[in-house]
Amino acid sequence: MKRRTFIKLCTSVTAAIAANPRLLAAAPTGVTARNRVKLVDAKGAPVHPDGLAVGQNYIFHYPFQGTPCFLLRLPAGKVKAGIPLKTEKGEVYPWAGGVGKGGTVVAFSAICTHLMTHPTDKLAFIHYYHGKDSELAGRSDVITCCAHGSVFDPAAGAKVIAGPAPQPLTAIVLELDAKDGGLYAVGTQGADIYHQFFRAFKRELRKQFGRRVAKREVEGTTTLVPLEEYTKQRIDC
Amino acid sequence: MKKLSRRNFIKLSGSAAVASAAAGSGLLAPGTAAAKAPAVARSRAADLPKPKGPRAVVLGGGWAGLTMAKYLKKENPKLDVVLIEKRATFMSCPISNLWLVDLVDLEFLSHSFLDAARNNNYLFFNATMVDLDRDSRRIYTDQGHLDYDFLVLCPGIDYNYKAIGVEDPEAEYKLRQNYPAGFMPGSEHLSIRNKLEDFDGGVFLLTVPAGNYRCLPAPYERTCLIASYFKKEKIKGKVILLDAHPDITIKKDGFHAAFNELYKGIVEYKPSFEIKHVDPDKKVVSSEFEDIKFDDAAIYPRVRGAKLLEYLGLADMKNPQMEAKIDPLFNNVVGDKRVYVVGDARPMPYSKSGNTSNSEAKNIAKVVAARSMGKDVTKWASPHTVCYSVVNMEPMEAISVDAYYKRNPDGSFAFDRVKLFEKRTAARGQATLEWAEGLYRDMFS
Repeated sequence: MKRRTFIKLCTSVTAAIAANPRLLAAAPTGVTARNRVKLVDAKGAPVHPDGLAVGQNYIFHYPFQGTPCFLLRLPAGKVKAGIPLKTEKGEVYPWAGGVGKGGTVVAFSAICTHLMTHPTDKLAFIHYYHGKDSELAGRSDVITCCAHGSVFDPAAGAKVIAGPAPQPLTAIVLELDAKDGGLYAVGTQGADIYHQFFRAFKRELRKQFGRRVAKREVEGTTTLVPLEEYTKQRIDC
Repeated sequence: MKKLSRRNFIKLSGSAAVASAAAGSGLLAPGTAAAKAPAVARSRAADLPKPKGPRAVVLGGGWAGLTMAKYLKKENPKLDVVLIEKRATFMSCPISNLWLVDLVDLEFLSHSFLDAARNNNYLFFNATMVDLDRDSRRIYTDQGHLDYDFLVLCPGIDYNYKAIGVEDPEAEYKLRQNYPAGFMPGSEHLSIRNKLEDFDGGVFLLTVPAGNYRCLPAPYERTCLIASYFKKEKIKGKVILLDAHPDITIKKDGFHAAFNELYKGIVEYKPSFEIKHVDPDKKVVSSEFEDIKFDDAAIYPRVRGAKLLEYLGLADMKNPQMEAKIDPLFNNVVGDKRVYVVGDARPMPYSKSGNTSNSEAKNIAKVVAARSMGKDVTKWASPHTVCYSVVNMEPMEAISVDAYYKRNPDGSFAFDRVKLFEKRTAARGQATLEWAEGLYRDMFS
């Protein structure tokens, strides 16, 4: 993790603690630093926040080659960086928030924390709704998992706002590179369900990615793809 | 496993002697602990590893039991969890309607108890429970006895044929064998699938029982899928659905739409049909007013709590549902915080469905785990019902419901936060399968 990001995080942590003194009692989970990986488009060029469409679901893989994430550019003025979130085990962490102007570019693991439904090359039951309501959530600007009805608020660190999910989606910590101004993923925050995920989906991941590929850590770059290109069928609910 | 001490042995042989004497004199009603003592004395300890902590035994490897075993271990890793199940393979009742008409294969429904136990750090004990002594906290099985600190009974349902006017055991067994209900998975389902494959035309009869029965929308879903199958296979058949209720019990707009728009002339829906008699030889089902003839059928009688609970003295026999006598908030047997009943045998009027049992078991696992650590849970948590029904095969389209429960001031329960999705869509058809796979992942991986 870069020094600047770290300072930024500390600042938001301090702010969160000031807002909610109970946080002091429970040590913040903080960030699990992972490989610093550059997000690139189909041509291999860096991804800049301004080039992202508001409301579009983008998929990239991180921190492992078989673990999909959402990259979203949220509408301005709603992002609640530093909001305290809680894992299933009761660990409290202040959400690191997003990057870009107003911190509107955010990323989360696309694996539902309920029963690990995630977008595959065939189907996407879980995704972000913008400009139209998720029927199940009764509103837009949410990530809804159609399999069992969990609803997450991406502007609040993917906090659970309805349904059976026991914890927020894992946050992906982003930063902007000082030189190329592009997006990098540097770590994760919150739920760690990767071990369970690899065990439950071993067979499916082998079919989609090849033998022993999915579990490998992503290094160097990871390609950003609009959801509609990544999956054959987007399921709305 | 506790060794039988000399003192206990003497106590046991003593009570066995008393019991046989009493049984001989007809002094003791059958079912009392002492009357069962001879079987008790013959039992030996089960060949299980020694418990590594307080032992929590879960009886029944259905949706409630499998979830319970996993989450008890998760909530309190010190618990030594044993799942007792009489079947050697899991076969899913949810989604089985899809399998009847070949929308999924048998592999989709079948899962390994061994995988479930291995992946979630508990023991799978393939045995049949035969008796329980709550005083000494001992369970008797056909594979020997074992002691528990906490016991969660998830025995599910049984059928009540008397409630549809079938009193004679000969007639009941003709019905069980010739026209199985298909709501307790295994041979019943295999048999119905064979019936459909062999069906050459005529009337295929289905019924919706009175009361709270397992899987409210399933008989309607089955009606749609069989009708869809007849259409696809060009079978000149009709599905008659006799419903004890005045209208479809759940997702009624979605089912009525399917009946009217997709299956006109194939499905005949007859509400408020209270079955008074069934003649399996003449193939006639009768209400007070009408006789319906059928060529083949899957007759779903009234549902009751598993007979095991009745035998153990834990069922409320005054209620026609004959379900468990338990605390309605935390599921423990009244007056015994070491024994719980979870799943379809509960008396609370929740939907008797897979998702409900799965979510209820997670809630009650928290209660049992807390109590095993000397703490307690004081707030009731609602189970969650998510239920998809496939109403068309080609394309595969479904409707769904998402609901919770609330407790009224008078202590009764009602549906809460109900979201109905009654417009049949292919997206919901796909979601049906992902719903099931998610829950199989929860229980088995």
